[in-house]
Amino acid sequence: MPGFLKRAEQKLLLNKPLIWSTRVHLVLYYGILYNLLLAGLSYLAPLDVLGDTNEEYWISFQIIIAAIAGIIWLIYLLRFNVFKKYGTIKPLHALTTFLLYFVSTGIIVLSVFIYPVVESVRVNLMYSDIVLVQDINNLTLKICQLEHQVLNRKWGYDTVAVVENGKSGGRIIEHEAIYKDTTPDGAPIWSHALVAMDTATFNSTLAGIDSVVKLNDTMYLFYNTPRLQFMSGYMLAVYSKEKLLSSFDLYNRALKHPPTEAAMHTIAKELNELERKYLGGKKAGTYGGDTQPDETPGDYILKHYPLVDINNNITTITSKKFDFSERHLAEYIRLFYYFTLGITLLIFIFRHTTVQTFFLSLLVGVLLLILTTMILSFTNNNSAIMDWIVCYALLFFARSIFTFSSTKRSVVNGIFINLFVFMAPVFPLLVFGMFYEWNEKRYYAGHGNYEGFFLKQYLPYAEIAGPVLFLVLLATYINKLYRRWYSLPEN
Amino acid sequence: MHSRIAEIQSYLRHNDHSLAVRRILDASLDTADGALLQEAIQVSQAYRQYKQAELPTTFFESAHNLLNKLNTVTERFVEQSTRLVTARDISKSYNSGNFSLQPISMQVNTGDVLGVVGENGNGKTTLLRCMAGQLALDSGELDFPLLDHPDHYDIKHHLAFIPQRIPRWYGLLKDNLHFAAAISGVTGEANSIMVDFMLERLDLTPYAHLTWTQISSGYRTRFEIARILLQKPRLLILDEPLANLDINAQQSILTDLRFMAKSVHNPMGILLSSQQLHEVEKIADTVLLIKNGSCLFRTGEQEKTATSFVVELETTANRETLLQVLNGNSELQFNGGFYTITSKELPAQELLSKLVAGNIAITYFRDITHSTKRYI
Repeated sequence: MPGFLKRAEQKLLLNKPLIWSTRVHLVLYYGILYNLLLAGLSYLAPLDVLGDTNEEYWISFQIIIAAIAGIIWLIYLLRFNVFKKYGTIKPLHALTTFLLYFVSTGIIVLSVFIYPVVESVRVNLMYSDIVLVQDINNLTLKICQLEHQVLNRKWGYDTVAVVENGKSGGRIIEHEAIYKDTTPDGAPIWSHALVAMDTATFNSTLAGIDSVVKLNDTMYLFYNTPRLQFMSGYMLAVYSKEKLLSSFDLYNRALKHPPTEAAMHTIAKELNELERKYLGGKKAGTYGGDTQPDETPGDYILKHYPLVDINNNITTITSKKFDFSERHLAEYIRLFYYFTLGITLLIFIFRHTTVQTFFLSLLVGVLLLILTTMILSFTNNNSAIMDWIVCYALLFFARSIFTFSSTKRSVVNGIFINLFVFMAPVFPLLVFGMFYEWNEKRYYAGHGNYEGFFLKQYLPYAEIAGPVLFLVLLATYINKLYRRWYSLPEN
Repeated sequence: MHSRIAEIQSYLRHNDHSLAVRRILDASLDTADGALLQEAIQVSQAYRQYKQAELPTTFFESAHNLLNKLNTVTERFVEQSTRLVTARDISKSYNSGNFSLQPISMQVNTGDVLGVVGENGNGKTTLLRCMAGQLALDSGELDFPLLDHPDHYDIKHHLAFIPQRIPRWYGLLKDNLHFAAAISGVTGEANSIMVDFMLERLDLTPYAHLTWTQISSGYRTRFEIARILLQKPRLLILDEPLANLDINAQQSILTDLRFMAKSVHNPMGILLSSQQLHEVEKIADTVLLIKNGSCLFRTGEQEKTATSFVVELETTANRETLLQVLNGNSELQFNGGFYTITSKELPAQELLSKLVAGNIAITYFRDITHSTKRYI
């Protein structure tokens, strides 16, 4: 142990026994040190950007290390307990200890996320959004340029009839005709249909159409460029400021002004380099067999160019790049938070109850869950599980109040208290879940579908209300509850 | 000069150095002066350093200097007795087994040492655990007048219970002591001083850096007592504290407990159970004899109603010789080890004189007229 840490440990022991007994200072120091070391190792470890990620191996290994670290910490933690020694405790004792346990558990759990984060950072450094988008655009542009004769087909169109507002209520396909038409020489063209739209829908659709021909005041032909963008780009379209070229852009750049014969060789060479870059030196597979007379341009392109493999590799790159993007970040934060919260609650309960009561509480909790799901399965009413769990939570709370009038320490009371404390942080979520199910059923009964049912947007409020409620309870009710229960004489 | 200071100087003069050092520590603690306390710790450390050899003059000089300083603040040695706990007809029955603790009443004041004696399985531990608030009472009540509307946590914060089997400690022994003092509000520099004081007071300094598994059971008891005392309890309850101690340690611990009970710094009441009847009776103000869950005898009350004098005697003489010497004034019982002599007329002193005059070789003689021993 370094000198400053020993001094800090001694100072905490003599002045802040509560903080000292949680060993948060040791966990923070060694935890941060270990996480930095792990980050360094993750940064230096070989990385196959185009290949599948190794994160599951690292995560599995790290879970074992974290579990060992957690056990070592708990062994240290179990040694000293201000509460169980009836030491002097302040009113916010429970809140303080819970937060310290949370921080300590969080540092340990965080180590599991280190490798995925570092991997994402490394991939982002190697392939910026701009570079990726430009490469994809160049790939498709060069393919379009090289195969402009194959790709330059007639455009498909939809015939659009504009009707009065309110009559159609949006877009109505009066005559559905999704079919493949052919030119006299057998080359395929895009499907077209007759569509009726009201004015509002017409105006909003017009903005996204590549080309329009007006037949009269109420009849239009909406032309869409044939598919020229053969790369998916995964989440680049969502997160990158640089945009992928649309089929219309590619048509204008490659097919409207095709390259000269002299430039073709250079284009082919550049395309080859790009392919090598995104194939990683591996030989690409061929798909689809020989060219068929009625195949689409897309089929033709996929047969002649290794776009499937390149697409897969780019998808691999972007999935690593955007592993912690906004959409996924929320999921990871939830994963981190709920896992840490669960472990912290178990530790907190263990530190405030007897060993026997703790394990009996676990047993009762598991048995209750199994029995409830069994009963609901037999009654074929799985959606009522939220109702039951909310009832349990209320029952545990109600029973815990009896502690204040008890004169003896009862194991049963202890179990109810522990289960109530465990469920308290997620109680608003449970109520939201129950409310959501009720309303979802009613909405479906009234509308026949779930369109327009947007209750999910209130989920974050329930998630935030949970910890806020719990912290308030910790500082007020739970503190007193454990103090009362634990100090009661036994029978 | 204050009587306490004079007493300590007398110990020093008569080479009772160990006792003198302990009393110096107690006196300096009672002044509540950190500087004097640190000086006393230094005197104790100097004693410990040289006690196997001849003590140097510097030790005596420093001891006398300190005593002179203590003598200037003796107005702080004010003893007050206050009621700590009153138990009124407390009783307890176990659902399993056939044992019941019958209604017992008692009162413990600060400075009191109350002993509970009896054979195994008669209710000593049950009584102590009831007093400690660990067992729920079936009837009766416990009253703690010094605490204002206490809840059970407050009660357990202010009293301490040392069970027969002391739970294991983890980590360094000294860290445990620091922790115990800190959770009772003794923090910072005062914490260090108090822990050093307690280590010196109970002669534990050489073992402070060790762990639980590295010390003997006797020292574990001492460390546990040190830990408890650092928490400054008002009522100290000990269940068979002498069980793991050698005879010298038993004497020493009991004497120390007696002094600590009467401390000015942290006066407390002590309730302890033991099989060592005579040792407990020497230091206890009151002794309760528990038999089959009932309080059979209580010293201080029933001794006034003792109807005969009783002594124990161990001798090489035979029964006939003894009867001849006693000349029919007493009853004689022999248990295979020693004789119990009961006499309605002759008090213990006169019995002893008769035996000496009759040239009886006496190995062991004890007056148990007022002892619980006679009822066991």
